[in-house]
Amino acid sequence: MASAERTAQAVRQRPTWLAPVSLGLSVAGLAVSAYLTFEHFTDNSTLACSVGGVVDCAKVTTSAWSYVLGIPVAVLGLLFFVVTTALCLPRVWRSPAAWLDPARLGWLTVGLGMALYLVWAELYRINAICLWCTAVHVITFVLWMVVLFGQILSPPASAESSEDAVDAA
Amino acid sequence: MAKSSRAEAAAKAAQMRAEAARKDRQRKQIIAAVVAVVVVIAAVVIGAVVANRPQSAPAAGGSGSTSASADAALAKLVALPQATLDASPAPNPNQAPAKLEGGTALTQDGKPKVLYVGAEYCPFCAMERWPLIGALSKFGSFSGLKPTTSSSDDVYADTPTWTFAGSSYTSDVLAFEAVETADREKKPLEPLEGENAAVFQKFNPEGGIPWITYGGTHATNGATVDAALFEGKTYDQIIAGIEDPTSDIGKSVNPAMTMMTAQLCQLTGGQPSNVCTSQAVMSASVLLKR
Repeated sequence: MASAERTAQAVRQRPTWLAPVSLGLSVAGLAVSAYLTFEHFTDNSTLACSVGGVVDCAKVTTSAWSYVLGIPVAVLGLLFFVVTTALCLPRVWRSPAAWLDPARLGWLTVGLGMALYLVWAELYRINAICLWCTAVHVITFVLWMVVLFGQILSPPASAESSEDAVDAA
Repeated sequence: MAKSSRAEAAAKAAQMRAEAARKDRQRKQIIAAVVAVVVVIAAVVIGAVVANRPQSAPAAGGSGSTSASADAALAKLVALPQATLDASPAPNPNQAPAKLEGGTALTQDGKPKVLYVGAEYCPFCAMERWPLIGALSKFGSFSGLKPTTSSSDDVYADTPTWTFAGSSYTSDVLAFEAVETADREKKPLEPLEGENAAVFQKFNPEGGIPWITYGGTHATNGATVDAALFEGKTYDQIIAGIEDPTSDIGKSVNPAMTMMTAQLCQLTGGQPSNVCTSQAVMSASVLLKR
């Protein structure tokens, strides 16, 4: 009587592209946010423009719009992508916990809302575009789309044996 | 046997119905998601288009009432009582010009020269001209200062100020030369050349403006006033702030003006004495970098 005990283990099957694409975007967002945070705290913040070349006086200033509730926006972005990266790890995508999908999408929707607010501030208040900030905004938007469609296209959770479980990622 | 076949068929039919319902739900979710994405993209595109619509240029000295305000503000600025500066907070060390290592004396017509390099579009230049005009007016007089505002499509848009382009400065104790390298539209205006270009490139290789050198031995790079205080302000509001040592503007611009005055006093050997022995200037002189 040596039949192996099979343990049933619930896993979520996902489109194969979902975990690597979302994780890749999260890591990219994390890297750019880290750079923006580094620049925020180490820039000498001289209130000066530059003579010649690409003129962007906003590059060398810290405007009131770069803080939310007293916290630098760059730091908020860094924290956002730390959490997002954790939510997009392959093992987390495989988890059958029902709260993860709405939490993940909700989190990214909040991030998208913040990105839209910052774009508005750039266009209508600061009157200048920060290229690295725009990169973060674009990554956030694309990540939101990837997660939105990825979760819609994911089959419902099913229980499978641990021996047969296929890692869809 | 027949019963189990019927049960299996019923289960299979239920499974197919559930799958069809799931696919239908999924289709609707995809449509909703596509609509949401399109709405977001449309909002950003429309916002960007509206933000970049050509705007009518604000009164860059053009409108009568703004020109009158500018003239009135300038009259008050150049005649600001020393008592107002004496009652203002002391400068902070960051406002003191840095010593230029290896800097040599810059003179013109036998007088120590102050060189300003900036541009009309530059908002920080716009702000820094307020204390600079105020300070230099204690040692001589300007003529031909024309009202203008900084660029409309940059930070601190349309900051009210005056341009040094086309103006002149006369003094018995100082020489002042200003180079406004570009106009409000960022087109080239006055060339930075010769000795001015050499000293600017040597001590300011990054090209930050405004850059002001006091006699070629000391210099400031960038605005020495709190930029945020100028946002959205008019000539009347700025000069009212300067005239009130307890206002936020007074607490930033007046100390900057005093620091510049102290540096100029060092250049002129303490002349004129009524300016250079004032309480504010004497206090500020301890911050001068020697």
